[in-house]
Amino acid sequence: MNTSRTEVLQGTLDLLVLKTLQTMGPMHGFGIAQRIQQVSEDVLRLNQGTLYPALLRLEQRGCINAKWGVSDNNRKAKYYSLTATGRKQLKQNTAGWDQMSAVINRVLRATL
Amino acid sequence: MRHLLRSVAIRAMASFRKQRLNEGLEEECRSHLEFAIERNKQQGMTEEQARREALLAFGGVEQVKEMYRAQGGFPVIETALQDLRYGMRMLRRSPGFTAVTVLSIALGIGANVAIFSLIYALLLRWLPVPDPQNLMQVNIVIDGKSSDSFSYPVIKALAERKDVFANLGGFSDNPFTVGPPSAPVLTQGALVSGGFFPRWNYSPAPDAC
Repeated sequence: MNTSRTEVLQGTLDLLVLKTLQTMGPMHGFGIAQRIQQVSEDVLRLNQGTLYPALLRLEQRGCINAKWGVSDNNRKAKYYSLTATGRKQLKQNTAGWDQMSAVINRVLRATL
Repeated sequence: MRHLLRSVAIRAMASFRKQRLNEGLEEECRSHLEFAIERNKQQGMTEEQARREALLAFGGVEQVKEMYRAQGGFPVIETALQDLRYGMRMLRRSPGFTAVTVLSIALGIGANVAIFSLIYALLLRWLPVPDPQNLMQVNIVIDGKSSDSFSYPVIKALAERKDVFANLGGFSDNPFTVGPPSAPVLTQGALVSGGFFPRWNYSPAPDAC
């Protein structure tokens, strides 16, 4: 396992959740957490519990829908899926993130 | 705007159905932990180890519930209510302090009301006469000294100048003895000139004319 793990940046969790739901389709909370950790190759340190307030927030904003369902192994779980608003939000936020990270990189690399 | 409304609606519902929100989260957390424990066991952990790891990865369950609640309802109103309840409890616990506090606040309010009533009556309230904002008191300045005392000829002359004041009257404080000869009563009154009556919307009693 990677020894230098990074906290999830403030405000980026929503983006990660939206992206995960876009790639994977409807998922439950644990699935989303697993996926984020897998894709980040365990570099991101995610307190899985903090996912749920984020999910509620996204639901309130109309970015995702939540529905109770049953998993493959017959367990009850709440499934989240992306809405049209969420798709739009993801596009916007991704563009915003690209811009922001490019700017910060430029500043950090800048020499006299 | 639509999203704001939607958010408010969901929060309002959440506020009223706090119980349900909590139960929903509770169930969701349980479901999450079961998934995690199962996954951990598949990776070869013992039951106990799997549970511990799952809880560790989840983080503080109570903290999450607190965050979830804050996201769910109207936290400002809820904490305000909490503070109010706490305040009431503390007041009930120390009745002496409460009595002193309530008494001083009551005295403060009482004193303010009394002073304000006085100022209102003396300074703020319009006199109960027609067109009170155009009622003036005439003073005269002689040799740098202001005086509100005029002789009757001066009053009469001023009253005739309708281009300055539409109406002008003079008065002079004067105590009167009123009543039948057997029981006279000393009454405070004033002698007034004719212009006084229409301005104050009084009409002299017919007998007095």
